[in-house]
Amino acid sequence: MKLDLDPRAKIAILVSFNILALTFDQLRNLVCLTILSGSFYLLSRPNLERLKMTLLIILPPVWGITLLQALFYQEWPRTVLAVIIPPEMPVIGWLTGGVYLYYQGFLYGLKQSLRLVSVMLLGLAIAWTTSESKLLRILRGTLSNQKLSVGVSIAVKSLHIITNEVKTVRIVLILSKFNLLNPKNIAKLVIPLIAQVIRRSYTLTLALLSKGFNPERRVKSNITKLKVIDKIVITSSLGIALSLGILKLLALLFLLDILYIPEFRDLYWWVINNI
Amino acid sequence: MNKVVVKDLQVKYPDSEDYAIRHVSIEFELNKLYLIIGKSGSGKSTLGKVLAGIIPQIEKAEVDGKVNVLNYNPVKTDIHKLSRIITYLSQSPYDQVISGYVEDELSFILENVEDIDFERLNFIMKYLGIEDIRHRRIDELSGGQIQKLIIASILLLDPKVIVLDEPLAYLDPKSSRDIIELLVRLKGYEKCIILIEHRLKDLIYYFNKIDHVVLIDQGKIIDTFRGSEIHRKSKVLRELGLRIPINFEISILCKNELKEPNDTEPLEQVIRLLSLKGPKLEVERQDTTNVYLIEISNLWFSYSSSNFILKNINLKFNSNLVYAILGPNASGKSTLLLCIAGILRPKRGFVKIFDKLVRSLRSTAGIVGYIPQNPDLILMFESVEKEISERAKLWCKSKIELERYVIEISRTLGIRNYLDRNPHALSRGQRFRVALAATLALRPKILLLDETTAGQDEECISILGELVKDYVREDHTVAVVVTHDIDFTYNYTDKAIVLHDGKVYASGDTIDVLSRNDVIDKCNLIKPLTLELYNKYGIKPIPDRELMSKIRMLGICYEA
Repeated sequence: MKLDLDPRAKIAILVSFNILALTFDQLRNLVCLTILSGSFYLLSRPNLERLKMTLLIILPPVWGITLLQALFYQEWPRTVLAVIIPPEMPVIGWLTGGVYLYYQGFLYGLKQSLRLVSVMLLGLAIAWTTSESKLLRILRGTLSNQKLSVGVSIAVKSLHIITNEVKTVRIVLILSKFNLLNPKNIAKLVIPLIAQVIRRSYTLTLALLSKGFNPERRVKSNITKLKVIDKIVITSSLGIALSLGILKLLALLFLLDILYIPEFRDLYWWVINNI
Repeated sequence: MNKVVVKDLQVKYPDSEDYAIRHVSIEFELNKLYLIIGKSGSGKSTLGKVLAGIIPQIEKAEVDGKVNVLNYNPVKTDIHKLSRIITYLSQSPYDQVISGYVEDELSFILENVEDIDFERLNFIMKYLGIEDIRHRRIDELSGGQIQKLIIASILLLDPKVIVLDEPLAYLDPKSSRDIIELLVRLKGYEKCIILIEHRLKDLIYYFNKIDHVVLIDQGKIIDTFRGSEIHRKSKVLRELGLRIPINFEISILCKNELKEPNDTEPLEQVIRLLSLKGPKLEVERQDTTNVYLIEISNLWFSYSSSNFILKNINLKFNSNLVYAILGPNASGKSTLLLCIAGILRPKRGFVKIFDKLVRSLRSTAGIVGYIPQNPDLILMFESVEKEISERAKLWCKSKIELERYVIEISRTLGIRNYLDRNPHALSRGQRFRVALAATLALRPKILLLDETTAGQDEECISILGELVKDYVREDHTVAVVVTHDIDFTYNYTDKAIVLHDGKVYASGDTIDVLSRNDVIDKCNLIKPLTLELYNKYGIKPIPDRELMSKIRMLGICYEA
């Protein structure tokens, strides 16, 4: 990701990716979106630690969603990819009628995972390449909700603190010989982290008070003017995403028999087949 | 009314049966510096929070009695309005910053409050001596610089009353002195400064400048007196469980009254007399076998390809000893600890534990016990009992042995009554003890502590020191402590290693290393009072704990 983009342009790209991830239904589109997001992620030059952390965040939900959808896909038609438990297997097979991996379920799960991954990769790239100070200033100048703007910038600022805490807890778990692959031990990883977040939130509340912060008051923030490149990025990314999103919405309304505009007949066809 | 008035104040937390504050009546005036002292859990912070309206507006509690802060009732006044009259600063400076850069942090306040301008900001930065860090990133600053930045940010709002809750807890001795000097100067600007502290050692040269000391115990004000008279209260302070400076201790022991709080004459007298006792003054050296538990050879480490954080480190760590690793910020102390634990892999050279090469974190599992700077990160079970037993299970042979061990260690650490409580619901000092018990329950052969003393009270630090010392002696293990705490190093460690710019600058017996002025300067430390006196008289130093026991043993006091 180009590091000197204005935070507003980066947020616009992120919002656009969110809209596109929800809009796209075709696997190839979602793959393209993920590749684009992955490219932005690599442009943020993640070091080995960050790469490891990204894998830790992304792999479990991707693997979980894809596998679960492949196992429990209920729609028709469905093609069996593999038989996990044959129906003739005593007890379990008789009770379940067999457990299968379905091709269509796998594809459906993959699509959901790609939606998640494309947005997550971009979100991480933006969080790592945006100064929390800049973000705070921009958000305070742009949003009317002060709680939200300060909350978002503190969340971005806390990302590296929480990453370090995850690392420390992992070290303690390994040195204590607790098996990290045991699902029970996931709670052990989470408990100290949650306790820390609660404590830090309290301290930050007191700190905000001592800095004269009042969430009810709108502030005047000296925000810089957008550069031409930022304006182009914001307009083009949101323009494309919103246009495609609106087209998808129209096609959905047509498919649900809610709204039909005869002039758009070809457009409906194009959206259903290509988006 | 230009003062803070508290009348018959009572505070009770919802989850507690006892009152945290009982019938407290006191007045605080402008242009004065107050020091509130008391043990952990005595009600100091509660009083400060009630004055600032945090209790009951943010933290829920039952509040009875009258509180008036410069004509405002903090219990009822809008807390945002109140923050321009009275400000409460909590302990950890690191968790109080919002922005990434110094200038942005201060601009944040200018945006919040319209009637402050840049001229005032410039004046305050100059006054606090932080203009040179204006454009720096906050995470590159030292603890002292961050604390000054936080004080600068509240001065922008110009509150008349400032409550500082243990502001020195995370600071090195030099930074602590800077902050205290700053507070002494600030009171002259029509301010009432209320300092909540229990680190009396750091205040020894400033008691004369403290107008009033308020002594609190079990939610009650026991006594109030002038700061210059604190030495007369040494006995009471000690009886209440406060750690008092060494010259106060000696004056009690020798029944030789101090003339003022920083009077070192009785201490000097004792040291002079002790020196005449000749061979008996020798430090008790620990028997060290030639068993090296850890061997580091030609170790180089860097995160990138060129910029080495550790350069050619060669060290050997003997069993039965406690080692301190000292050094200024970014000298590579914590990195060295992480290399020993197998968390970081050296670029060149090696670390061996029990003569086996350390290849990864998993290769040291079960051998190394690690307490990070924030011990709360160790606490991962729903009860204190489980924190200990789940770890001790790894080596306990029977249920009875396990139960016995849990009771024994919890009793040693004073957490026996909390075994069924959730560790995260305990106070900070209690959580620290649980973390220590949990780590020791693993029976590690190598104990690594990374800045563990930072932010802890004196009682916890002395418990840690005593326990670690006993543990390494009894189990023939080794402890390596990364620290800035000179008193801890002086009193509880056997060997000291000083890192500077990624290299070993000095190493040897702790007392020999700390006696070197160049080491003290390099590490931004201040020599402990007694060590300074030993050096002054050219006497071989001994730790304060040993000094006290020798005085009792040799009957020096009577002669003095």
